[in-house]
Parts: sequence; structure tokens; C-alpha cells
Amino acid sequence: MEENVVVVINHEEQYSIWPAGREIPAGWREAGVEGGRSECLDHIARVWTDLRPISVRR
Amino acid sequence: MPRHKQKHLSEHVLPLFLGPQHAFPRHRTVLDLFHRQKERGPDRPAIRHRDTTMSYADLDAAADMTAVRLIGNGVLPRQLIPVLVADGPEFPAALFGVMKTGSAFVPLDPAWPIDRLSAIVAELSPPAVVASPATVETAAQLDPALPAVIADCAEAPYAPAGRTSPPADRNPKPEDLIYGFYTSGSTGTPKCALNRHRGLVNRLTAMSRRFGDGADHITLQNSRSTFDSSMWQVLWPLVSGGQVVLPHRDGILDLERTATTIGRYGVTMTDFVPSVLEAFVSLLEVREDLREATSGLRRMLIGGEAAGPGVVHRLRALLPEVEVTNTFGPTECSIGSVFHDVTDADVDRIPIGRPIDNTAALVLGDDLEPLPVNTPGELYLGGECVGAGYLGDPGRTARVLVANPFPQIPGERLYRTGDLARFGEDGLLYYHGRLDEQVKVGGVRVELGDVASALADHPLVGSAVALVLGEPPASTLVCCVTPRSPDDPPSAERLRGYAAQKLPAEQVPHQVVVLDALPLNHNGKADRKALAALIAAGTARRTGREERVEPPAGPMEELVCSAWREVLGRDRVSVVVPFADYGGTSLLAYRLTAAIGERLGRPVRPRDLLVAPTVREQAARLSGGVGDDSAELACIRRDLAWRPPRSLLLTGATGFVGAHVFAELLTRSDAALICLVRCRDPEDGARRLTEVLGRYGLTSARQALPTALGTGRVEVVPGDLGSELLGLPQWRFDAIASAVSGVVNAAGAVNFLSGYLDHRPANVLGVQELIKLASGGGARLHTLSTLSIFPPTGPGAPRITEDRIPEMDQVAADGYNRSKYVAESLLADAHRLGVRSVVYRLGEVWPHRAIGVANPDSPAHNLLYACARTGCVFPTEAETDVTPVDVVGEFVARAATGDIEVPDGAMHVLWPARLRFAEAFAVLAGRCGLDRVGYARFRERLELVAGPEERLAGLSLLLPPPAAGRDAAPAEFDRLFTDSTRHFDTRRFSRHAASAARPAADGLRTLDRYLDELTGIPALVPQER
Repeated sequence: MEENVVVVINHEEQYSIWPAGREIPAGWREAGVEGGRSECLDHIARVWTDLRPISVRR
Repeated sequence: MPRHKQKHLSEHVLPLFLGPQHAFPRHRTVLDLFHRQKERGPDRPAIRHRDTTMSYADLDAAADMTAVRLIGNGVLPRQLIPVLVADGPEFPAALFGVMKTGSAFVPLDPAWPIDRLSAIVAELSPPAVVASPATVETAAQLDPALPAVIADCAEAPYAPAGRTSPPADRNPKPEDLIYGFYTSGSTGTPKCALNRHRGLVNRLTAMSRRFGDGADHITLQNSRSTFDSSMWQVLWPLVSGGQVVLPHRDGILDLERTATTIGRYGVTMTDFVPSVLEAFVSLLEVREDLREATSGLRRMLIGGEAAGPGVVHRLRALLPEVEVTNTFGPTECSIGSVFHDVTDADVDRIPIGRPIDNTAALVLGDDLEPLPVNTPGELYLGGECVGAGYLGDPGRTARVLVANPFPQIPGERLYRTGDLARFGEDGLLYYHGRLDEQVKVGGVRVELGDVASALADHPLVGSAVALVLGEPPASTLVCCVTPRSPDDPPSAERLRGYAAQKLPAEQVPHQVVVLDALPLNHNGKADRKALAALIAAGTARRTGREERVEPPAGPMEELVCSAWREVLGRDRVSVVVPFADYGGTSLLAYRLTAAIGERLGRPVRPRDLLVAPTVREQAARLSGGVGDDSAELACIRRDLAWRPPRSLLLTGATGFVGAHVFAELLTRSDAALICLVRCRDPEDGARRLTEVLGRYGLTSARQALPTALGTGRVEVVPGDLGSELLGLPQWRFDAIASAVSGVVNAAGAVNFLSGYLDHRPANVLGVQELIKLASGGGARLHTLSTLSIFPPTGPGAPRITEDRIPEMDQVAADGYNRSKYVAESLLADAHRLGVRSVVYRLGEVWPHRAIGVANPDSPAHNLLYACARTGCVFPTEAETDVTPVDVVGEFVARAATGDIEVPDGAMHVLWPARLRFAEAFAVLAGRCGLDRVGYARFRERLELVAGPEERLAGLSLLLPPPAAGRDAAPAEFDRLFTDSTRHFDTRRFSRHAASAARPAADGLRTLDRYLDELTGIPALVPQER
């Protein structure tokens, strides 16, 4: 069974996944999506269209 | 519970995980650092390639021109620009050219299949590509077609009038991307890993801090441009004022040329993948000229795959000036961020080491919890090295770049390596393999799924599975396929050709095997283990091709065939089947070159073999211009050189003379060695041997030991000479007795202050056990003894010949000499009963001529040592004979292996050299300014300082009282030492040792190195001046 994860995002608008129910590391916040690992990675693939940190996107 | 409570690393693991923190130019880019070097010394050499040298200014001009052309073709900042440039000066010109546009470069190999290149360019969708004059044609074949900007180093610097520079506002920022590298991807499509300037600046400045400035080095780019290790080799010298040598390559792995390139340009630093290093070291071992050529190397970085200690220590033995650094890290993290400088202590494993400056390496459990030392877990990398993920693949990026939960580790994201590692007690990281299927062949990351899916696309193939057989450096990539239809099986050869069109060369399987069906495991997946076993056993039925073994015709084919069999590890090879079909890689081809050269008795050039793929063709090439007789003569030479395998039992290898005999046997013979060592278990014994070889400075032997232990050539047997059956079980004793052809007994107790009974167990009972062992199995006994079993003879007495043995009532008075006398008598008796034995009577054995490390049990050494410690010397008439231990070690080892024929019986191993202590004292007094005092004063000072030092205390007990009213030592003192050359005849020894080294002119010269060592010892007593 796949563990549940949440989609997290930092101030540079970079995404990652984080085990559900655990404290979220400093600098990161939940992006409002929780589910299976591959489901969340698919979600990230859809919404994260520019991999560059926001500070260099300008 | 607060949502943002942070995980603190305990004070135990934090120093383990975190590398040193150092300020680095975090607001500069790699381009800034290069510009600074150009400003500092525009005319200094930057690049060496064939006969040309480019200065920093030349290179900067070529890069400017490339940048201006790129901008003219529509390149904007922050794009990804393909660099389709083979190795050469255009490569750095292209890299800096792209940087100057504010974009990042992506090196592509012009030798990749054009379809692959096109697919990559389509993904990058750049406005233009960079090519070189040599690759314009390849660039023109790209689909979609793109403008190619040519980086041309030939035209650049000489037209200053027309020179323009790119606008300064194009300069990249530290957080901008510097490059992307394509690596193999598990889904069948390669992925592009991205890195930033800041990560590279940190890595490159960390290298300067660690290895000294690049200006002190000449670096060879030894990795191809499409591997990210080439980045440090090209960029580090250029950002730190050094020179980079760009070799000329033609796609053939030519290590001989690598060695001559190193020699030609005076290269001091480069990089090797361990499996290639293995072949390189083997080549250096047989070629003195190439060792000479590479002797200027000072540092070697290795990485890309796990490094075995054997090859690393062989390299260190061959080139003692070279420091080796093991480097670890993925392309995703700025080339690599975990380093280890190899030391002698890395006997069993080479650690990957510690995180470099401003980076971290964390070993975490499934729950991201930090794991303690010695617990393997997944390795995460953090800090400045962490890259920017994968181009156009957010899912994969989010999976490997995870949020960093540890506030003490800098950086928001950690890279999840997929590698298993642990921290040892020593604080160093040790690698434990992959967590997934990813494998490396020849240091190159290969995704097996990638390889299999390429072959599965072939219309005649049903299914395909790729696997790696064997351990590096001999591992091969094999792909097993089943036919789509049993009536129409594909040919293995055609499939390799097909794979070569779709995959980069390093991912093309070395061997394709066509099977009727794939063995499956209980999950219904292809069973790789069963496949490996099938292929290894050679039972895989190859439906693609009839396996007919064409036997060799003629001696040259036989010679080449035997080399193939050895290198490929096969019983039979067909003379018409190509080398690659047997899984022959370019590395194996390298060993083949050595194997054939060795058989032929002349060097063979690798390209002679690589252009001719079969035994028949190679034999034809090798016969060309050479009378066919040479092969037959080579065969005869080889047959004549055959010797029965030798196996020796060695006791006392941890003693002074024994260690030198052991080192000689280990490095200069191929005898198998069983070492009887007093120890807890074989590992403990191996440690003691290593420690002793290190203590006496026997570096080559110490470095060869791990390999010899690994291959079983050296076996450590825990035992005790003084116990019945040597302390072994009967079966073990019997097994050794029947296995060994000789016994070298270098063991023995020596304590000049204790009696016979103390010496009896080791020196007498031990010899009894060895005689039993020899009489059971027929081994010959080689025993070390001493000249002092004879009592001192008066002046004028005839010299004692080697066939004599003292009578019971003539024996010397002390326990040690008595025990050796009894041992010799027992051996002489046993000889009459058929046990063959040689006794080596030693005089005063002095340190190795080239090393100078003394025997701490020698009274003669301890006397000189005492002078250094007490800071004074005194007048004396004492004198001694001088035989250096290297002479003893070589003679005994060569006699024991049969390299020198020696008769049974005793031999006086004594050099015709003499030392008057007064001469040595004068040298010491001159070199380190010792006081010249009377004997009485010396004796007082010795008593003063001897206390805690056992050997000084021992010496002071031996010293007779001074004679009243006399400055010089009393006659009784002088009699403690003897010049045995006056009393002993050495006819036998001189006759048989004739091939050993000739003595130096006098004892003093022989001891020069040793006396030098002594002058480094500080005096404990304030000198009177």
C-alpha cells in the first residue's frame, strides 16, 4: 500500500512531497493536496510548469 | 502539536553529517572567477592541446566570439544551449561562450546516434547550438534543423580590431543554471540534470582549499565531455590560474597514449574511473617507460563507481608520489560532494569519506530519522552542492529533492541519492550499493530498463531483459531477448548493431543472448539471477547463431587464443568469433593487449588488436612482418619458464628480520605464503602484519598485502610456535605439512637478560614441531640462527668455517645463544634422518639501506640510540660487523623460493663490512652536535634518562662500570660487540650470494640512511655548552 503524502511548496514556488501527518519543515507550506505518492507527483507535474526558483524567473 | 516544530539533529550526529563551514565567493559565478584569472595573468597558459597553447586572453577572446555569435542567433539569458563539441580547445571556449550569454550549456556527444541527439535538441528547443569545425556536419543533420554557432579557437585571438564582447549585463547570477547533463533514465528516456553556478563555485573553491591552488597543477581532462567529472577537470584549472591539458581522442581507449600525454605535458593531476584505473595500473606494472612518463603525477581523483582497495594501493605502490582522493556524488549535486584522501589505513575498503566544505551528507532511515554510526541507510546530500532537479520533469524533481527538515543543515532541499551508505566509527562514509536497479558499467550510469526497452523495440524481438554480470572492473552489460516468433529468431549480432544505433556507446550491451524463453521468478518477472547463472554456465542456447568453435591453426593463433581464454575466462574460444561477442569490453581488450604482449615477449599496441576483432585476424596482423617463428619461440620460452607452484610456511613475520623476509617474498616472488602469527584470529593477524610492515617502512609490501590476503595468496594462521603442533589442530598441521614445499622459520624469542628456559619454547620446542612438520611432508626448513652460538675466539685463532657446530662445552654462556645452539643441533640430527634444512647464521643485522628503520631489540642500535637520547658520545674501541637487513631478507627469500640454489647446512650470512662505533659516534656528533664526554659521564646520563624507556633501561643493565682514571670505555664494554668478519669464514655464503647485491665500500656508508634517521631523535638531556 502506498503511503499518504502531502504536496508542499516553498517561497521559491518549488514543489516537493512530504509524508502526511508529519511536521512540515521550516520554509515549506502545504499546497492543499494530499493523497498517494504517485497521485501527488502527478499533481506536481501538472502545476509546476517552471522549475526555476521564482527569484530567477523575474 | 505545532505544525512547524523542527527536527533537531543531536550533537552526536550533527558533526557527523555536516562538512566544514568555510566562506566561499557565494556572490560570484564560475564565469566571474575565470574573468578574474584572465585579468590577473592574461598571458599565462590556460589550455594545452596537441602542439598549441592558448593563454587566458586567447581563451577569453574565443569565448567572447562564441557568445557574440550566439546572441546574434537569438540566444537569450537563461536558456539551455546544446554544446555539440568533441573534446578539444573548442570545448572550454564553448562553455565560457554560453556562460557569457547568461545561458546554461548542455554538452552532447557528437558520437551519439543522430536520433538521440535530435530528440534531445527537440526537448531543449534552443535558438541555436554550439558546434566546432569538426562537428558542423553532425550539427547539420539535426532534426529540427538549427543554426550552428562555431566555436573556433584557430581564428579567435588574432583580430583584436574586429573584436566585440558580449554585453556585461548578460553575465549570469550565482543562482542561475550553469549546465545540464543528460544521464540515463529508468523510463527509457534520458533525463537532464541541472546545476547552478553557486554549487559549482563552492565545489571548485573547496578543491582549491583542499588541494592547493590550481596554479600549482597541470590537469588532464581524462573524462569525456559528456560526463560531469570533466567539469572539474576543465573548469577548476581555469578558475584558479592553472592549465588544462585537453587530449586528442579518436574514440579508442588508448591508455598508453594517456600515459605518454601525462608525460609529455607534465600532468600533475587527473581523474580515473576505478575500472579504467585497473587497466591503467596493469599497464604501468609491465611498462617501466610508462611509469617513468607518469611519475610527475601528484594527485589522482577517482570516482564514478565503487573503488576496490587493491587497485588503489597498487597505484600508490607504483607511483609513491601520488595522493589518491576518492570522490563521490551524483551529477545532480555539482559533480560530487563527498571526498576521501586515501591513506595506508584503508586496507579493506576505501571509504567515500566526508562531505566537502559547506555541504552535508546524511544517513537517514525510512522515516527520515538520523541513523547512528555503523547503521546503513539512505544517503541524502545537502548544502551548497544540491542542484536544480531535472529539466521538464517536476514529478521526478519533487521526488528526489525533498524538503529539508533539519534547521542545522543549510539549504531548503535535500537530494535523495538512492544510495545506501553508513558512517563508520571513524566518522567516514562507506558506500553500500544502490537501493534501486540503477547500475554502473565502467563508471557510467546505465538504467537497465533503458537498454532493454531499446532492444524490445526491434521488430523481431518479443521481450528483453538487461543485466550486468560480474563485478567491476570486469563487469559486462548483457541483454537477453526472446524472439517474437520462434520461426524467425533475430541474430545476436544484428541486435547489437541495432542497439548501437539507438543508444550511446557505453549503454550498448557487450553481449546479446537470444533465448527461447526467459526464466521467470515467482512474481512472474524475469529472474535475473537465474539468467546470470545460465549465461555464466554457458548453457544459454543461442538460437541466433550456430556455436561452432573454430580451433586455432598455427602457433600464432594458438598464442592469441590462449590470451583470449585467460582474459575472457573461457575454456574455449572460436578463432572466427569477434571479441565483443564473448563480452569483450574495451577494458578487457586492454588486458588482452598485455596478455598477448607478455606471451610474445614484445609490446603489442592496443590499436593493432582493436581494428582486428577475431583471433584469426589478430594473429594475421601480429604475424605480418614478423617471422612466424617468433610465436613458436615465445611459446617455447613460456614453457621453459614454467615453475611448480611454491607454497611456504613463514613464522616470525612480525619480527624485524622476518618482516623483511616476508616483504621480499610478497613483492618479489609469486610464492603462496602461510604466515603463522600469534593472534586472536586471521583478521587480527592481518592487522599485525600490516602494522609491522608499516613500522619498518616496507610500503610496497604493505600496499600489496590486502590484495594478497583477498586472493588467498597470503593466509594468516593463528598459532603458537612454542605449543604442540604449533598450537594447531592435528588436521590443520597435517594439511600445512602436505601443502608447503618450504618452511622459513624467522621466529624466535630474544632477550639477552633471560635464561635458556625462557627461550626454550619458541627457539627449541618450536623447531622440534617444524622438524615434525617437515618430516611428514618433505618440506625444506630454512631457519635463522646466530653467529654467537660460538663463544668469542681470541686473536689469531683460525676463522670458524660454515660446516662447524660448537661442542656442548664450548657453547656461549647466555640463554638465547644456548637455545639457538640446541636448535641447530636438532636440525643437524634431523638432517641425518633425511629432513633437508638450511641454517642462516646472522651477525649484527642493521637497518635496510634505503629505509633506515632499526630493530628496536638490537643492542648495537640501542647504543647509538642512547647516544642520541643522552646527547653525548664517548671514546671506545668497540667495533661490529655490518650486514643490512635488506641483504638478509633478499637472500633468505630467494633461497627459500629456489631462486638461488643453496646447499643444505649452515651458512654465515655476513657482509665483509665493519663499523667502528667511534666512527659512527663522530658522524652523529657532527650531524647533531652531541657532546663528547667520558664513558662514565655517558653512563650516568643514560641512567638518568633510561627510566621509562625499556630499551634504554635494558642497555644500561648491560653496561659494565667505568675503569677508574680512564675516559674511554673499559675493555669489558668493547667486548660486548664483536666484528664477526674477523672470526668467521663466509666462503659458502659468498659463493651463493654472488647474485645478491655487492657490499658498499664500508660499514659507515651502508648505514648512512640509518644515521640520518638517528639525527632526528631529540636528546632528553640538556647538552653542556
